[in-house]
Amino acid sequence: MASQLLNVTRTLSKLSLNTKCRLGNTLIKLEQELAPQPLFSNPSRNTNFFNKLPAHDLWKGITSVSNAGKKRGRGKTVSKKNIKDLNRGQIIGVGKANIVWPGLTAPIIRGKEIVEQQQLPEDPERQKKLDALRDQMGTHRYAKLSPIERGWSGAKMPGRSIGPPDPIGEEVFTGFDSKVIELKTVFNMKGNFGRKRRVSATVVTGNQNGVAGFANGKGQEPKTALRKAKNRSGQKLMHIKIFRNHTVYHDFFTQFGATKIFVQQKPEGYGLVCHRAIKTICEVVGIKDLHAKVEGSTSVTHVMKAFFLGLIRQKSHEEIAESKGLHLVEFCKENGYFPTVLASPAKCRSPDEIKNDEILDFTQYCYDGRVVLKKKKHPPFYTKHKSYEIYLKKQEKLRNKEEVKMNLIAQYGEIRSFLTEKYPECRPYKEPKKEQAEEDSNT
Amino acid sequence: MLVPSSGTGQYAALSAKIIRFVRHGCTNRPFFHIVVAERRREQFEPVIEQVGSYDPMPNERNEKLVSLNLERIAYWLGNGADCTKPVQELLGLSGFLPIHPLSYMAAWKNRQAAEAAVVEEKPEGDHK
Amino acid sequence: MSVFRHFSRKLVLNTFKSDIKLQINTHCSVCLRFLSYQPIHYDGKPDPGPVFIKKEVQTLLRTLTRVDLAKVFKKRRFGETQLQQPVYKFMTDEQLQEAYEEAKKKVDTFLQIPPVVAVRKPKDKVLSKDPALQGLDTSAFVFTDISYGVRDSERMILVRETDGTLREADWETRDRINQLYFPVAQRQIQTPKMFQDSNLEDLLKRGEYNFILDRACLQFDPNDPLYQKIVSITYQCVNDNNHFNELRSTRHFGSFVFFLAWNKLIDNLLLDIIESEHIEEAKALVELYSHIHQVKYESKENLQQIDEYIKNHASKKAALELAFQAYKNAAKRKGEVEEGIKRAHGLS
Repeated sequence: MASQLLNVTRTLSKLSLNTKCRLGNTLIKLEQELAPQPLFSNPSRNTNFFNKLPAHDLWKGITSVSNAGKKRGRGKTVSKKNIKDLNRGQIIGVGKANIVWPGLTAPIIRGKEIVEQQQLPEDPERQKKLDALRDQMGTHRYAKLSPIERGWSGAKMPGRSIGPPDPIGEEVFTGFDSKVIELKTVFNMKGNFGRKRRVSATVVTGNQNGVAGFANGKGQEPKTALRKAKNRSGQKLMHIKIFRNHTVYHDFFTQFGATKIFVQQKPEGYGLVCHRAIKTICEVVGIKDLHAKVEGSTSVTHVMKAFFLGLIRQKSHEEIAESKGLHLVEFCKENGYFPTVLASPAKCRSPDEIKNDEILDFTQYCYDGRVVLKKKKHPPFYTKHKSYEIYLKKQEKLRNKEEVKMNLIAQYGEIRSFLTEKYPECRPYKEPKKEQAEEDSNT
Repeated sequence: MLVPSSGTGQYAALSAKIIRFVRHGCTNRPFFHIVVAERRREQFEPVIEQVGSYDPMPNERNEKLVSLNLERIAYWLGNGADCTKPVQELLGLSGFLPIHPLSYMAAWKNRQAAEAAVVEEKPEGDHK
Repeated sequence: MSVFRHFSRKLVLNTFKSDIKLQINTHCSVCLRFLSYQPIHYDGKPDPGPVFIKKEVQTLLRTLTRVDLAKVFKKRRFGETQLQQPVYKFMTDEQLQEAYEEAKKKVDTFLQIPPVVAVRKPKDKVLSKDPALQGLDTSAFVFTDISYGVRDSERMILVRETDGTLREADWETRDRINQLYFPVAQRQIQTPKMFQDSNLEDLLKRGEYNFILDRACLQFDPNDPLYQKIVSITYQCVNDNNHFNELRSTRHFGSFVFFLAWNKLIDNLLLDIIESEHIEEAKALVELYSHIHQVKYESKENLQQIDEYIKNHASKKAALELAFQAYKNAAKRKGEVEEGIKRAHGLS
């Protein structure tokens, strides 16, 4: 009866919404007085997801992914590193209220007296300690490395130094250092196991003075793989010729598989301008200046093998001069192009003996007639814009600015001119030091 | 892309030429190029040839520096180019042309003004 | 021999200070500091230019420079931060020989001796006076003729003063203006600070003679009094400290020797040459002296000419005589030994 009435009043109130409902107020009052009583009860559920499962199952649901789910790529952020174990640091019987429970948190008999249950004053430190413990958990931080120790990419192993190979008996590798070239997981199908996962590491070791070697090692863990590779590389050392203790003997071309490398000799102070794997090898071998261009595949192991092949196949200047039957002469700009004979053959050929089609250019001889692919450099797109023209016009006035600044500083010790005495306000603005600024603002 | 301020060397054969200043430098810091240009051209349009420069701000030793390519100026004057008055004054001071009457007038005016200032100052001093 | 050498060296060391001071510091009453040298200018009475440029003098100076290719072509940086990659070439014997010849031609340019000329005379020609221009401006005008193809030394640079006079610019202004409109690479408009007395003294103490002389050559004209001051002080310092090897095989050695000969200071150098047994050079030095001071030796043989110089013109006779005698003895003994060897081999 009442509910029917309610329905009627609701429809009425809806209707009267348009006519600014004068009736509505009274009817709503009526509704309040009547206090609705359910005529038929809704079925309520006492069980739900959270009380159907035990706690450890609930935790598992949050903190792990099923094997099937993992395969589908679910729960990528879920890992043990992100889980906070709230039970950690908690002991049964010890809580917020600092109560001594004989038999649980304290012995029943201490000496000859029976320990009684009692409440001690609250320990304010307890909660703080717990919080600190929980803050530590679940926040995974990557190992911070100093910029010198870093590899090619942050804390990843490739490019990082892992020390000299382990001594063999009494033979110690003094002056050696090893660097990781590659570290990757590899799989192998076993008859009874299926996919078997291992870690493969490639390491170069050398004494920075022309002795170096490289090797590959595999193991269950990265650590073991690295150790194996490092120690094996120490047993595969080879001699590498270094010119004037800083660069390669001559330009050379080298190839391994689809990887082709053009290596150029460079003067002191040039640095290593090349693929990062080649750079790492050079650091280990002791080459300081070099330019290398990799054409074709840049697979790291292939680059390494090709580069080592090239290094080993280098000829000394004496060998080149002997094979060519001509003097090898160096012309250096710093020497005023004075001819310096690097090597002479036992018997020099006469001009008649030189064939017409013989390669006499030294670089061409080193590259064996090959030519480095040099792509044409196009001017950048913005040079065609009108704005660039405007920019150039504006820069025209500033073209000597730096030089003038330097000269002024050299002459006066600061950026000022002889006119500054007449116009003291005309000097560059200097930002006041922080402490001074604060003092000024305080006063 | 940029037109050299030293000039393009391109001009119409029958056009009137003039030797004049072009103001380079920046705000509050004038610097003039002395150029040969076609009379009808605007100031900052490409010029035929630069024949000198003039720095009107005295340097540390109180000198105003003027450079003149007298060989080319003589050539252009011989080919019927005109000069603006300021250029004529500079050429006069350099001894290349007779001194321009305006220079004498300016000197005379300045001297008169200086004398007047001295006379003005003196009576004030007497009163005190 | 070595005893002789030591003794002669001692003698020189004892005599040299008082001697030098007598010669150089005629104006200076008290000179106690180590580097208190008086600048010596070529004052043009007589003019050193014509003597210096004579062919015989030039060849003598070249002989005295003692060309050492390793030193002439030593590694230098030409203002580049990055070293250049050397060029390698295959060469036959003939080509290599040609390359050597080419390099030897370059020695002349590397070892071109900086000219020795008299100090320039001041420029003070007044072209016109026009008092009617007084008060036109508060600052002077400097007019420079920048016509193409005119030498720096001949360029017309005029100054219109505030009082209306038009006159030629003085040398200091000329240098400044020339460097402003026609800059010489690496030359500075203002005199570099290293040429200030205190800094120069420091450099001389450190023995950076080549640095000073190179920079002076670059910065100044050879007829600049400041150039001659710096150069003469450096030369005196080198001479007093017997650091001749620093300047040998450089372009400065020629003008250095000329300076010494001009000012009659060659005794230290002669001693050094005799001790190192370069008798050809000793002869050349004595001949150079005769060229400059119009001295004629009676004898025509080399050794006797040197003897004559030591007897008549040297200021450190004792030391030089000792050294020369030592050299003669050594030469004699050497000849005897060689003859003995020949005899032993049954050649004579």
